[in-house]
Parts: sequence; C-alpha cells; structure tokens
Amino acid sequence: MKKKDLAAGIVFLFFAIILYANASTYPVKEGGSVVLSPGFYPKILAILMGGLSVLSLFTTLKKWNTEEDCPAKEKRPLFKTRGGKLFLLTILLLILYPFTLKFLGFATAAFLFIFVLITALTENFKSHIIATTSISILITAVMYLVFKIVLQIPFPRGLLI
Amino acid sequence: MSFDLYLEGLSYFANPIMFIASFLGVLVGIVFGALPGLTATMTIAVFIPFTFGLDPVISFAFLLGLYTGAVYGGSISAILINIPGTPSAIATSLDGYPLCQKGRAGEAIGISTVSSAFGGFFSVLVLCVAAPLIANVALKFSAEEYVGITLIGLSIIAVISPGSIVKGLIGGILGLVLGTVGLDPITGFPRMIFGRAELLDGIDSIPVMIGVYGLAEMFSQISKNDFKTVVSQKLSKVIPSGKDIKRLMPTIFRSSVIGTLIGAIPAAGGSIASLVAYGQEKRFGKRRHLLGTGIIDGVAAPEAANNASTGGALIPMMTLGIPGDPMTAVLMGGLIIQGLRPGPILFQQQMPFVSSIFISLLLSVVFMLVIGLAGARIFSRLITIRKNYLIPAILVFCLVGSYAINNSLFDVGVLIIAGIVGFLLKQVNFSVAPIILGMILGPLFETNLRRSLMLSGGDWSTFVTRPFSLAFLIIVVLVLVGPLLLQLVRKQKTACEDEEDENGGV
Repeated sequence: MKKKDLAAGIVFLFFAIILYANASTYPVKEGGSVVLSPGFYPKILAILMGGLSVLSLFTTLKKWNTEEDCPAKEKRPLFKTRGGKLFLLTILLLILYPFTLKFLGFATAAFLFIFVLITALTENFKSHIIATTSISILITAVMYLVFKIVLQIPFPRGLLI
Repeated sequence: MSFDLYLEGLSYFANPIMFIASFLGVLVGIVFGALPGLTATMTIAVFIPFTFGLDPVISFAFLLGLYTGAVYGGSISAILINIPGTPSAIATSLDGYPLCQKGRAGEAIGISTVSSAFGGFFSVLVLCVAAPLIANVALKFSAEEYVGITLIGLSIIAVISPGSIVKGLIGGILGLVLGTVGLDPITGFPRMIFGRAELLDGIDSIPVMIGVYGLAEMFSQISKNDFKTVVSQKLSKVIPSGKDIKRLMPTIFRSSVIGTLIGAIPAAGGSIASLVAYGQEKRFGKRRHLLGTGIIDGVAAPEAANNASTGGALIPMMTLGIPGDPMTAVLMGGLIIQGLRPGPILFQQQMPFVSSIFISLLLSVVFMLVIGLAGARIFSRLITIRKNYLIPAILVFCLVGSYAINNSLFDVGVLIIAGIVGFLLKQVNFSVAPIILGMILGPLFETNLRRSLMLSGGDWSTFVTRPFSLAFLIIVVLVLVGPLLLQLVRKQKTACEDEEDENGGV
C-alpha cells in the first residue's frame, strides 16, 4: 500500500501543479477584484490539493521504514492474473462498443459485447456454449425490447439492427 | 406552514401511474439491492437516465421506490450469503447470517422487512415535520452560510470515507475541480473544456456516477475473477409473529431514531447509521449478550436504522441542497437534471412537488413491506444468478444509460473514463463518495464563495463575522480535528479494516 500511496501522492501533486499553471493562463480583469477572475477559484483548489498531496507524501515517507500496518497477502501484479486480463479485455470491449453501435446497430453491438464477455468470464466455456449463446440472445432481446421499443432511445442507425 | 401544504401533492396520486411507478421502483430496487455487488447508489445512478424524460413527480415516485427498495434489498444477501447487497447492510450480516446458518433465514428476512418498514415510516414522518421547519430557517441563509454548509458536508464525507482523512479531502477537492469544468459562473469564461463544446455546460454528473459506482464496481468483480455460484436456502416463517414484533419494538424504535438522526447529518448515511444502531443494541439491548450468535434483535436494529436513514438523508438534501449520503447525492443529480434545484426555495416555489416526494416515500415504504413479505422466497433465489451472466448485462445497462441522457456517445466516453479512474482510485484506497459530492456541490460552492467575497470586497473575515457561518466553520474544524483527538485517546481502526470496508463504495 505504501508504494501505491506514494504514487497517488505524486500524481495528485503533479495534477495540482498543472491545474495551477492552467488557471494562471486565464484572463485577469485589469483593476477589478481578483475574485472576478475565472482563475481565482481553480487556483485556490490547486493550492489546497497541492498542500494535501504534500501532506500525504510526507506521511507515507514517514512510515516508509516502519512495518506495513497490514502486510498484503502475497499478490501477483493485477495485470498478470486472469482477473487482470479479463479487466483489460472488458475495457477493450467497452471502448469498441460505441464503434460497433455506430456501424452495426444496437442489438448486434449488444449481442457481440455480451457474448464475448460471457465467453471470457465463463471457465470451461466449451461445455457451456449452448447456455452462453442462448443467454446472450435472451439478454439482448430483453434489452432491445426495453430500450429500443419501450423507451424508444434513438440509437445511431447501423447496418444491422 | 400549514397541514394543507402536504395535501397539495396528493392530487398527483389520482393518476394510477404514480402507484405503478412507485411499485415498480420498489420491486426493481429490491432485486438490484439483493444482488450482491450491485449497490443501492449504483442502482439509482443507472436508472436515472431512463426517468428524466418522465414528469418529475412520476420519475421521483420511481426513484424513491428504488432508493427504499435497494436499501432494504441489501439485507437479503447479507442474511443468506453473508455478503451485504449494499454497504448499509454490513451490520445486518452480523446476526443475519448466523441465523441463516441455523436454518432461520426466513425469520431473519421477515424481521428485516418489518423493521425496515417501521424505520422507513418513522423517518418519513420526521422528514415531513422537520424539512419545512429547516427550510424556513435556511431561507435566511446567505452565500456565506452555504459555503459553511458545503464545507461541513465535504469534511464529514472525507472523515467517514474508507482510507485516510487526507485522501478523503483530496477526493473532495478533486470533485470540486471537476465541478469547475465549463463556463465560469461569474464571468462566463470557458475553463478546461479542451475544445469540446459538450463540456461548456460542465461534466454531466450522471455518466460520472454510473462510471464510478457501476462500471468501477463491475471492474472490481471482474478483476477478482470470482464467479462462483451460491446455493439458496428454502425460507420458512417469513411473516414474523406479533409476539416477536412486540418484544422488538423498543429496539426498532430506538434504531429508527438513531437512523433518522444520522441520516440527517450531511454526508453520513445508512452504513454508519446501521453500525451505530447495532452498537447501541450491544450496549442497551435486553439480549445484548447473545448478539452476534444469530438473534433477530441483531437484524432488527441495523435494518430499522438503515431504512430510517433514507428519510433522514433527504432532509439536508431537500432543505439545504446538501445530500445526506451518496445515494441522495445521486438522487440530487436526478433532481438537477429535471431542472429542479433542491434547497429552501424549492419549498417556496414547488411545494406540491415537495409534498409529492413525502407521499411517494411513504407509499414506497408500504410497497416495500408488502412486496418484501410476499416475495421473500423469490428474492432469495436472486443470489443464485451467476455473475458471469449478470456482469455483461449490467455493463450494457451502464452503457445505454449514459448514452440515453443526451443521446450522445460523448457521455459514453465520460462513463468509461470515470469507470477506469474510479477503479484505479479504489486500488489506492481512495473512496469515490467525496469526489461525487464535491462534483455535485462544486458549482454552487464556487458561486457562493465568490459572491460572498465580492460583496465583502475580498475580505475573508466575512465568513467569521456572521454567527451562523462562524458556527458552521467551527463544526468543520471539529469534524476534521475530532478524529485526530480521538486518535490520541485510543488507537485508531487499522488501515486493514478500512480496506475491507471499501466494499463497492458507500
């Protein structure tokens, strides 16, 4: 946890600096109150966030050489585990979804998304192929009925349905 | 404020759709709440996009039904499989699960239903009486006081969120920063819009909420790679006996008072309310020595409290515009999207709507009691639904929900980014609740802060020269410094416990 805390502290400090620098580029009204400037409030937030990040870094470093409060169980890095790989696959599918939605239409995109993900999440998929396919079709049909027919959400028109 | 005002909303209920909306809301809420991993907050966030096309009164009858149903539904999986369906049911599993192991799951669910209904009913009554009174006082508040109240909300949520207070505060400020995206409320200058016209009105809070509460939770479950199926238990004796209810009345009443009060504290909420009520049962309960071994008293206390917190949490949300818990923060997002700004003005200008909220909440408590007792056997089967089928369906639901807000794929992008960021923040033990609260309160906070300073000519002492404002700032200091003082007196809860508490975001 200490390494993660250190990384998070650095990221937020960096974010605060960028925020402050960006707010400094906003126009300032000559002679007017500083409160009127659009950069006034973001600058205050940047200073607060920077201060808290430094405080968080300071506390993490202070504890650096002491024992972990709760020694983590021996864990492999997330992205090397099956769960981590599934997580990455899900993100990929989510990113692809708007494109498949645009080109293929709502029902086809939803079916592909659901089918691929269920296949990936199901261990020993081959013995469940009929169940997976029929459940994917069922979920898609219910979604189509609810979203497209009942709620009439205007999805982009794709090549298929 | 006369009693007639409460009746103004009654005319809406001549429309049977109000009853259908409330009934459906409770039913869907119980189903989602009972499914492990689908929190009440997430349920409301995911459904909001589908309701804002409706009349606000109907939409809120449905959403309040969801809210009540999901908070109650969380107890079902807490009792049956020791996994709270929603974080506010954590304390319910302490006695609920041992009862289930003894084969008395039906009894536990029955008591949970009756206690929840009583807690909910009690809190609605308090809400009806207290809200108009607080709104009347709040009418006298000016910008300085609102700055103080917002700070109270943000500091409480920073303190109670899992992880350290500093992390909670960083989260709150991150939320405020997200709230600055779009046109500056005073000068109209565009800030951090990165050339995207969609961002001129600010980041839409609904896709962000669906992302951090829905998508991020699904990511957590996927990365745990645990899709085991559980076996359900047959339920018997779901309807509790009059003797049991009579014996439990002091516990239920005491917990309802605790739940309503804690719910009404800005940013506190159901999880804390139920844990405190369970703690009080341990101190004052007649059968306190048996708590934890599986007695119905240990189910009645947290369940009455967490449902009582629902009405309580609506008090600050409706009267001050400060949500009482993350669920009401999401509900507030639903109000704002309908063009209604919660706060004392709402009581002046939209009293029929306000009273319809009171009546809807009361109606949803009645439906919860009926549906809960009648459908317990069916709901208990929900826990057997396999997660590898459930997760993809929920993900599509999240995608469609965020798209449906503006029929825009841009919002789908916001959803995915929010989901990934929310998941990563959970990995470093950051709670997402402060971020959401900061984001929702951000624009109002900035406007009030700058307005106060403009009127005082840039003099910051304006915040300490007004008595109410000064009192609020003192509360902020006490909230932030209090835990440090407590730490000196006794050893603080360890970080490990905190990490375990982070169960899908409060």
